[in-house]
Amino acid sequence: MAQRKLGIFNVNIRIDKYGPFYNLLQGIWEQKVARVGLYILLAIIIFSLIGVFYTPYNPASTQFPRDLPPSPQHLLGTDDYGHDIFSQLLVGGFPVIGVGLLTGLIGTLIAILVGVTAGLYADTLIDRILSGITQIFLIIPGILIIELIGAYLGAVQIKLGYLTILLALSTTGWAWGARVLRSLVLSLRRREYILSSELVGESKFSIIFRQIIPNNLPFIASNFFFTAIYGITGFTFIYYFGLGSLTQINWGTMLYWSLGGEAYLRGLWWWYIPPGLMIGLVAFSFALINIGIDRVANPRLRVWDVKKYKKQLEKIGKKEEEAEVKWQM
Amino acid sequence: MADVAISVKNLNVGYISDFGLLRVLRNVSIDIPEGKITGIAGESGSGKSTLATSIMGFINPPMLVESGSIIVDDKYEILSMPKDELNKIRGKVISYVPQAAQNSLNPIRKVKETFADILKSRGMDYYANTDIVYKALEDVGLTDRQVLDMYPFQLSGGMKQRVVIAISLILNPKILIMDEPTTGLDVIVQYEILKLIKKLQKEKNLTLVIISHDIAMLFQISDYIAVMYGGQIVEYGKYITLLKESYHPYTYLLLSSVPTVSSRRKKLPRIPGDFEGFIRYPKGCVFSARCPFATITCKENPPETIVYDKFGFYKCSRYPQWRNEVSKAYE
Amino acid sequence: MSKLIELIHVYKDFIVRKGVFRKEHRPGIWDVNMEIRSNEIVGMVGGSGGGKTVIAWMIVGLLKPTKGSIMYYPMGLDVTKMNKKELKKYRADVQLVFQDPYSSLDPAHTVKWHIERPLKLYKYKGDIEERVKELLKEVALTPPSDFLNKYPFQLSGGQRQRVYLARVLALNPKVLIADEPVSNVDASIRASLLDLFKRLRDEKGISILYITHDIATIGYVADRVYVVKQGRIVEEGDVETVITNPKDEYTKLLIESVPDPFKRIE
Repeated sequence: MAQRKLGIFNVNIRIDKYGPFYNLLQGIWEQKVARVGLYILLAIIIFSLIGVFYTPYNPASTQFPRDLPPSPQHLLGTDDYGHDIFSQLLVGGFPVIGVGLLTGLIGTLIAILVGVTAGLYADTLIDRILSGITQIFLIIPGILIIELIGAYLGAVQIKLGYLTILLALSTTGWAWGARVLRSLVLSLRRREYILSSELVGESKFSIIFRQIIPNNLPFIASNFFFTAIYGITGFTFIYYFGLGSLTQINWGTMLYWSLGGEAYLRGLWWWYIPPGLMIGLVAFSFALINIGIDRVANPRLRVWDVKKYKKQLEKIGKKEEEAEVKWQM
Repeated sequence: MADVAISVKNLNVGYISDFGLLRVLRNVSIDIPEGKITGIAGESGSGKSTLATSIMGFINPPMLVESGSIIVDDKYEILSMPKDELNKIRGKVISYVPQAAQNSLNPIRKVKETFADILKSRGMDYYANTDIVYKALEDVGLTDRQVLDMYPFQLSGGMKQRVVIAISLILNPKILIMDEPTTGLDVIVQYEILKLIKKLQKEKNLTLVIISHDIAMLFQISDYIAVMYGGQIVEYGKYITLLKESYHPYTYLLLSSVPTVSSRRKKLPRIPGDFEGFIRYPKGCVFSARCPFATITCKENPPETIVYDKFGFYKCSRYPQWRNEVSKAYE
Repeated sequence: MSKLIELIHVYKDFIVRKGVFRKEHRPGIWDVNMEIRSNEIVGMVGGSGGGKTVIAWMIVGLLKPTKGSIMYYPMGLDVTKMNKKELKKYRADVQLVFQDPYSSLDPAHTVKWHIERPLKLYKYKGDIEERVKELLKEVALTPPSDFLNKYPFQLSGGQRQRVYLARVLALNPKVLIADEPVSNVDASIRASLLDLFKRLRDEKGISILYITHDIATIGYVADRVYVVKQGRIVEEGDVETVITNPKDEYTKLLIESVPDPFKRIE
């Protein structure tokens, strides 16, 4: 960053080396909404990171007295089986966040491959096949299928592990993104800069990765978080209904056991509220970040930092009240 | 003595950016005469659209009015009116057709639904006022009422522009501002629209302000012309004055640099370079860096505004001397 | 002067769907015969919707005609029948310049990237950065180092057109099809862009098919002209003759409609 005197102010000139990626990140950072979301996510990740190295007690141990309300020795009390809930909460995060983010990643990658290819080869056989597959996956309610499969497997005593769940969620969560990407590509396809690349000899592959994706980054980023929310929700559903491997400790299984133990009927709020709250917060943070991305993509939705303006206005000697009148439209 | 429809005095408008306040309009003053067509000419980036949006009061962050006054119809001080009062006069007293308006017609509403929306926003029902709508369409030459049942994509560029003009006139405003009304249309359609604009202005005695970079087009229909460069009006006067002998070199260069059928085999003057931009605003005359007749004095000291008429002024310190050096422009 | 490209009895129909099963054939281009010769600027003029862009796209192979052939004599082949390899070679020779400078450059990439890519794709042997700077100088974007790392949003319309021209010139084409290259550019800058076209013809021997709706610019830059109305050629000939002595009503209308500050509309 270099300093230069421009106009009235000394300004820092941003060096735009990274182009669209950098612009996107910076745009998101500037939106307060997204920043709050990022902070929440960061806090939760740090919380779970602590759990990797330290828990007050062994989360799997059932040696503690049961159904204790929160106390200094057990910050979130204990459950029906004698587990310390706080320790469980600490270690229960990573699977949820991990599966959520990975679902987002894999789902978005599939969406890009399918959607962009279908768009570029629109109205040909390739497109018809890909669109057909997308349609099928759109109609199938993914979570329901997973639950059906899980229930069937459950009947033969096979429970779904993390990898299986990840695969199941990412293969069902990409369809919507693919559909939208196909339409986006259709609208870009006849844009002159894409045609120009065709005429200049760029391969379709190069056009996809060098041009279409960078120009659709906000949507792709948004799709990532959207799919991640689907991943988290799907994960929670699976464990809540007991289809996942019950020996694992994560926020989902905590909810399952609390449901089985009728915690909400017995007033054991410290058992089911913490994991539910944490899951909700993660999803909420993703949603906030998404709102920020929306605002970057569509500048009309942007929220202008009024405080920043007021500072600049003072510098040029205007009174704040006069300035207020001006932005009434 | 002609009345003044819009009076702009000492207007300074800028945009707040990360670089600070970018002053775009610099001390702009102009009186727009009532009942006449005034053209505002300028290249892209000269500030002409900013002037138009300021007059309409469309001032949103990051746009900021630093100082100045805009008085419309002798009574409305735009810069100090609150939003609801501004909305009352928009469409009724002063109306605006933005750039590429044909593309701003809602693509999923039929033409009559768009009219209905506008009438509704004024508390009027469409079906009770179909006569106004039909008359508006006839005025713009769309005699086939089937247009009302069509979607914008079914209409040609020329038809869309006519619809947009009809919409802007439906509440019978006294003043109409049009930003690039013919850009994007081919010459034949442009010719038709220009004839239409001229006819409408005469029939309704409108005060028309037309903004465009196509100076040849402006000279075909305007009574008065203002030439903008770098956020300032460098010349303003009757079209015939500017055509026969303009006071400012930029006007002359703009006029002569446009290829026309009659000038096709002649050598045309160039205006080399680009405007430096509002960040590194030039000291001295705003046009001096590109002016073939500029001297050191021009580059150091901004010229005085020489006002020779209520609707006529220019900003050049080398008039009439530059007239003797015209050949320099053709090198 | 030899013939480079010739359109022979070219027709293009458009299929419009009316309902789920019915299709309607609408005639688009009808019996067009046209030549582009070496070392010339030939104009194609007509109102919008008249098929000029369709003809341009057919010449560069983005569309296939329904009937007729488009001969490219230096390769001795018909464009409509070329295979992928031949088409790639053809495209190194015949390029298209688009109308809208605001969408012909990729907003996500710098000027340097736009000009580098064709050089890399056609395996330019030599210093790529030097060549990029040379090309920028040829299109009068000087000093080149000022422009290398700029993004399209930092450039004016005229500058963007020049960058696009530099990109296209990187391939050393023999023919440029310029579709309304100055229509979206300020009126005062048009002449200098057109001068660039003249220079390309004179100094580099590039032939240009210059497409526009503004017959005044044709008069300024072209040697011959074809007048196109709704997919048909209604008049053709050498520019001076056509402008001073137009035979077809449509040509007369085009001439009358061109904005001229001395032609007042009352």
